Amino acid sequence: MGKYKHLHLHQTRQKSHTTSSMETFKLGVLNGGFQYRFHSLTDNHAPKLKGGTLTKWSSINPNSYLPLQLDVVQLASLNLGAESKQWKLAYEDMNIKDYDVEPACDLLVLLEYLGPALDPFNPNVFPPTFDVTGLDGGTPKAFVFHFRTLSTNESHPSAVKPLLDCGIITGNAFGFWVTCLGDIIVSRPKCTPSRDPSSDSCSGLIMYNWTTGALLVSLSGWVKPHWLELITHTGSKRRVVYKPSQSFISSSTGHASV
Amino acid sequence: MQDLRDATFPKFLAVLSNQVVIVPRSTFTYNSRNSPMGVLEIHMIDWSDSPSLSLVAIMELPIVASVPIPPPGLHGLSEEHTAIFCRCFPGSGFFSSREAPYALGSPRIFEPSESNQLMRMQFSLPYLGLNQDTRSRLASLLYIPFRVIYETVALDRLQLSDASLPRRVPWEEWGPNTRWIHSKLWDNALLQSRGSRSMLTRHYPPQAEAPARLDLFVVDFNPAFVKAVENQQSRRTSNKDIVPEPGTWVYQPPETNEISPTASNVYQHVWLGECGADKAVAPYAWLQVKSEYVDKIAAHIQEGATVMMDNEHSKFACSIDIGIYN
Repeated sequence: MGKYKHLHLHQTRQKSHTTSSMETFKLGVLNGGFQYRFHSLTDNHAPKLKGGTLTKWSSINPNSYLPLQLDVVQLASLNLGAESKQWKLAYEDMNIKDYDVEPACDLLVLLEYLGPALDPFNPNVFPPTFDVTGLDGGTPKAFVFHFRTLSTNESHPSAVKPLLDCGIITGNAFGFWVTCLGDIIVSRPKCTPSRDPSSDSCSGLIMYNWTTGALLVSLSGWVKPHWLELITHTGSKRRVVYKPSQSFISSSTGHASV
Repeated sequence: MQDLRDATFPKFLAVLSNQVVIVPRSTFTYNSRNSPMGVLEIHMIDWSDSPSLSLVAIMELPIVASVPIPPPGLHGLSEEHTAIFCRCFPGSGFFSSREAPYALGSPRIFEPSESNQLMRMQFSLPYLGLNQDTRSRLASLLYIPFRVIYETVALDRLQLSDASLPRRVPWEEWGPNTRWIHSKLWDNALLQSRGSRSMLTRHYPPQAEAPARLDLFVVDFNPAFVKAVENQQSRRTSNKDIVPEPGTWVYQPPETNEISPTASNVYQHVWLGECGADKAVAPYAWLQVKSEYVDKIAAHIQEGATVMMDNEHSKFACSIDIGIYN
């Protein structure tokens, strides 16, 4: 079918909004995976739909969060002239906390925590406890970003480097948001939750062009324990320097400069 | 160029493209009087030698007289605390894969226009319940087409060296080009659409006298499409009292309706009814989706249905099943 006919059919469907086809896919726990509590990637959230692609994480084993697997479905698409297909990517040793995809770029971005995956919930004591840091008293480790291909899980050929390490260490092991938008990713490292019940929680801001290596960061506004430190990082093109505060304060003096 | 050393960013900001960031600021407190309920900061991203943000405009939201403070001692609130939260929904950014050298795979045949993309905002008063015993959230949604922002601040003609920046824009100048919908209806917060459309869902649990029902509405703010629906509707009938059939596009003129903040079925708050939110009456087209699948699952939904969309597909996720249709 020619491009014009594809476009015409697409426009017709957009106007009618009637069902032209319906497919049901099995993802996550319905496809041999397991759901692990208190880890947002594998809990019972709906699969992500973006750019005509469905993705859903699950744990491979029934009794542990790691290792992880990702079910991927490319939906049938007039735009691509393709039928639907499904595949699975496996991650043996990565403690992945968040992710996003950009199917048009065949991009999969992973946020990995470099520490262990610990269960924050302890039902063996009374009353049961929940560790709000997820560290079980340990020292927090850094978070890093990986740039892979969604189709094959290899390092992305258009990425300046396959891994970005900004030296981000937060007060917990739970991770934070990362989103893709074309050639940039946007990430929101969370500050320690404020005790102010009416404040709109603030976050740091990381914007990174994964094709050029340009990095824009603001980590001001964090409420950080005094024992945390931010590591200076040298990117491929820019040097980003942080000057952390030394105590609990409501706004830090962290800044990004060349 | 903004000095980022003292910058703080709320969690729910919106990145419209690799050039534009929208930062909502919740500035209205319990002791605020006759002030904007918040503002939208428009930032341009400069990816040259030293990546940075530049604040180029501040778009004001409607002016509110006051918001009553909850009873003393509730949650430890005081008059200095934020009364109205203004948040942008994430996931509405745009990039053109056809112009991107890093786009891989088969080229896309069709791509929506950037100007018609939608940004949605949510306004909520988390601590003002309907009465002293309830603390229900009262959330309202504001739909802002990208073109409203781009044209209001004239982004294509902007000179970052202009000493008059940032420009402050009152609500009356840009608000009427947006649409305010009060959320008696659910709107899926996980929407990933990159077009001019959004979905509204309303789930009715089964009652003694009626089966469960899931109403699904699509709203479209594309001006060309809205105009076409308007023309088609006026040719079909001039009788405004005829109830449109499900599956038929309906034109909503630039006036309030039953899902506006001033509708009679909306609990009346001074801050909504008199703040000018009812001026946000951009026209749109809407359609009630009819689907045997939707009818079938309505009876089995335990909580609400989550609906996601992209340019070609709609996806339902609910507690019993996952299906896709387009």
